[in-house]
Amino acid sequence: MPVILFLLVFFAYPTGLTLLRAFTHFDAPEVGGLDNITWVLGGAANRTILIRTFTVALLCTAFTALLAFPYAYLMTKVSSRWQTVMMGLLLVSMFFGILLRNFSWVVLLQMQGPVNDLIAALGFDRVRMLGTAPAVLMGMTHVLFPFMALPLYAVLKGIDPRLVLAAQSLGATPRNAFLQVYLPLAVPGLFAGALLVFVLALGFYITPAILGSPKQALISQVLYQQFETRAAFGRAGALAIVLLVAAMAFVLMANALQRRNKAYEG
Amino acid sequence: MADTGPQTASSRLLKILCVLIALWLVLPLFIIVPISFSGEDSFSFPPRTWTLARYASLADPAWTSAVLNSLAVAALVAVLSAVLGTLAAFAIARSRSGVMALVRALILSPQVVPIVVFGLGLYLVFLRWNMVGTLWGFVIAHTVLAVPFVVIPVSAALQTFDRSLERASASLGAGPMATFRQVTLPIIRPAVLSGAFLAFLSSFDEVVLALFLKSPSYYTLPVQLYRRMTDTIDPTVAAVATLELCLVIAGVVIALILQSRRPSPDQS
Amino acid sequence: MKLRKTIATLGLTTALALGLGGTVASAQDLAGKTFVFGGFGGDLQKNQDIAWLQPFAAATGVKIDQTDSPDMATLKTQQEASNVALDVVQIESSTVDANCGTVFMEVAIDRSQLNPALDTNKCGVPVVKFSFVLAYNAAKFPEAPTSVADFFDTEKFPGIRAIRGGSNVGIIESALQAEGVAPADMYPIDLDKAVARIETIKDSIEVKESFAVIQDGLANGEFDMALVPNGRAFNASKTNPDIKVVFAGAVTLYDNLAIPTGAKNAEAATAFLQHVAQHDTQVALTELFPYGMGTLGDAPKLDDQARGFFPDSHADQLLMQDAGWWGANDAAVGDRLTALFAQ
Repeated sequence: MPVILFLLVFFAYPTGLTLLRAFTHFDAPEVGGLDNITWVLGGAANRTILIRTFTVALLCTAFTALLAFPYAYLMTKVSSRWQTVMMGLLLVSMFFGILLRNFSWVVLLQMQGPVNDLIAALGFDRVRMLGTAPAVLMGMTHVLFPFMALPLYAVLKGIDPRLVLAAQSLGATPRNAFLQVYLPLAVPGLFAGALLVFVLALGFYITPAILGSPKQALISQVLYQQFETRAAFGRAGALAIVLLVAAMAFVLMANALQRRNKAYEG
Repeated sequence: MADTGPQTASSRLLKILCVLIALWLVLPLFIIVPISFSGEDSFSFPPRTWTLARYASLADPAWTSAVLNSLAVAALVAVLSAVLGTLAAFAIARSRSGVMALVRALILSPQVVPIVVFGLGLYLVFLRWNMVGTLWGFVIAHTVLAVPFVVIPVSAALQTFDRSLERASASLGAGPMATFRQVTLPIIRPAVLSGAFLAFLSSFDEVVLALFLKSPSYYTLPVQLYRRMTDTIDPTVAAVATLELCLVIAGVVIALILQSRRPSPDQS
Repeated sequence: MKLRKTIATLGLTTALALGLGGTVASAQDLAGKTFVFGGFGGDLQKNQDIAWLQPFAAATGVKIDQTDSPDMATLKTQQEASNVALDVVQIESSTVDANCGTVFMEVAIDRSQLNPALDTNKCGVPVVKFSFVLAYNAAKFPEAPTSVADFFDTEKFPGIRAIRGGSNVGIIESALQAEGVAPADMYPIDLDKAVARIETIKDSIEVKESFAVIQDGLANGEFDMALVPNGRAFNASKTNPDIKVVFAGAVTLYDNLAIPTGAKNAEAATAFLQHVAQHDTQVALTELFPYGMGTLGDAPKLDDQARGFFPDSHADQLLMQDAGWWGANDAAVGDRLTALFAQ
């Protein structure tokens, strides 16, 4: 299969080299062995960055889920004309480039920008938003929203509404019917979206670079900086390893959880 | 559905919530439009002075070559990932071996590995192979990311595809090529085309690999946009955004109109 | 004394004649050749294009591609792979001093018009003398700051300060001045003391990725104060007249134009360095944009606004950077500041 050869040469080989450099490339004050890994995990600054990266990724997953669920749910309930409109809005946002979507948040959130103008008009002090973790979170949630909404919609569309009606006719309140019949059926969709969003969020570079600041750096920024300003390939490789291992651990854990859930249901 | 009192109240609440979400989704995009008429090199809002010059400066070779490069790269990425992805989807669908799970994982992994990790590795390798700042360097890099966009829908189409059709075609005397062209291809064509379209878009929009692979003489539109947002404050970025916004809206509206006119078989 | 002066004049005249002859000769040789120039972007590079690149291209027929100046790391990476993408780069003089003959190649050009105090290596041509000034928004402060040390006085001058991340220049020496270190005792730098002082105002500092963003933020009120190259402050003041500068204690340094070893178009690049090593070329840039020259000769003609932002107008107040110390310690300072601001 040509695609295997293609990906081995142009993806696995270069990516593997990046990781391997953690053990072969050293930049003072590191000298050898596991020094680069120790540099990542040992320093207080790097630990803060790791924790911040995971926190932002988790919050971003939670926010996209909270926003995408009602949106996707309503899409399954409205007439096909409104469904088309809602899908259209989703696609417009998604096909408008990620750089330009981030740019729009730069304009919105700046100190003298429209959001702050509104805050000031309401009589409050202007709030510094650009360069903070919440601004990064806002930008990332905006960019990743379709990645949650689309898989979720695909699953919700397949849920038979008669199941909820049946539960109601058997005496369940609408609330209970929704919570106990509908929601469990929606879990696979939420799950697929959440996994995708979380993994993408962990590795995000552009949004933090534009809306964030080195004071609120995420791990990809540190990795790029170690490469660009110092050619510290060993440190960059070690950061990559830690990021990948953590992401993989999370994915495996999530898969195990879902399998256990299925076992209970089945 | 029974229209009881509290339920309509909650469904009204849901609709209001969704209108707010839709506004949050789309409204920020339009905030860029006034900046494209800004008369000074600043992103402050609203602009203090007004001009149309930003649209004229799009004719500058720095912008036109970036756009042309982006289009060329994206078109080649669409073709290359359609070919590679369709072949892969066939192999996965027709093989029962457990190795195929591994192959699938390999195809999907570029989307999971943080892009800076892949980008850094690719940059160092391409530097040695003299592929930094070349058309094919960009095409290969973006194809790695884009192959899954083709593999996933084509695999899905092949799963629902009845192989007895192929056997029937063969038993009626059609050769393998004729069977593929006249039976298999028409069935998977929509999946291949939509995958190729997504591949095109993903390449056209890709920034991070492009920042690694750019050279002074060869770069794509996102590179130019990123530079003019960070190293230089240039409202021409907003002019590009405004044009792109018009294109995207027009494209989506046309696509949805076409789709809603055609009775689609998969709509239940 | 008189003899020396005569000889010097004679030498200069001869060199000029040679230089001129060289330019004429190379005008024929170089037509159709190309090279890649990496600068610092923004208005500086726009004006360099007008004052340096376009006239050179017109006179010689050389085609010049422009891009951003790479970091040292990027250059070294390209050199290890034997694939150097740039031919002329603008980079801090301390970096060229420390890497001349290795990362950068020695060039045989006529150096007679260069300022001997700034002509510190055989690879680069000194250009763009600039000061890390304290730029502030006068509308935000009833009482004006008087020295770069005031950047660290958040009680008297409350407000948001901006610095550029990844650039360690400017803030360290300014912090030590706030600690009362006299300019004469500045080097070697007491890094612990400087970092401790910066930490006290960390919450008031915004770290930005580029000077362009800081310049725009200053002009539109996003920041109240910033440590920036004087040209960035000059531009911000053109958009917003409330932007003023303090030169007292401003760390002053200069860049080099240099050719990376392994550059593919070294011949055209060398001719270009010769072009920039001439006083007329450098004055032409200063008159467009108030950065200092690496050459000696007639003073540039500046208007009143530009003169206020021109380092040489404040020569007695400036703190000249010790390039030797920075060449040896830049990476260590970078690690400390990155760690300080990341948490």
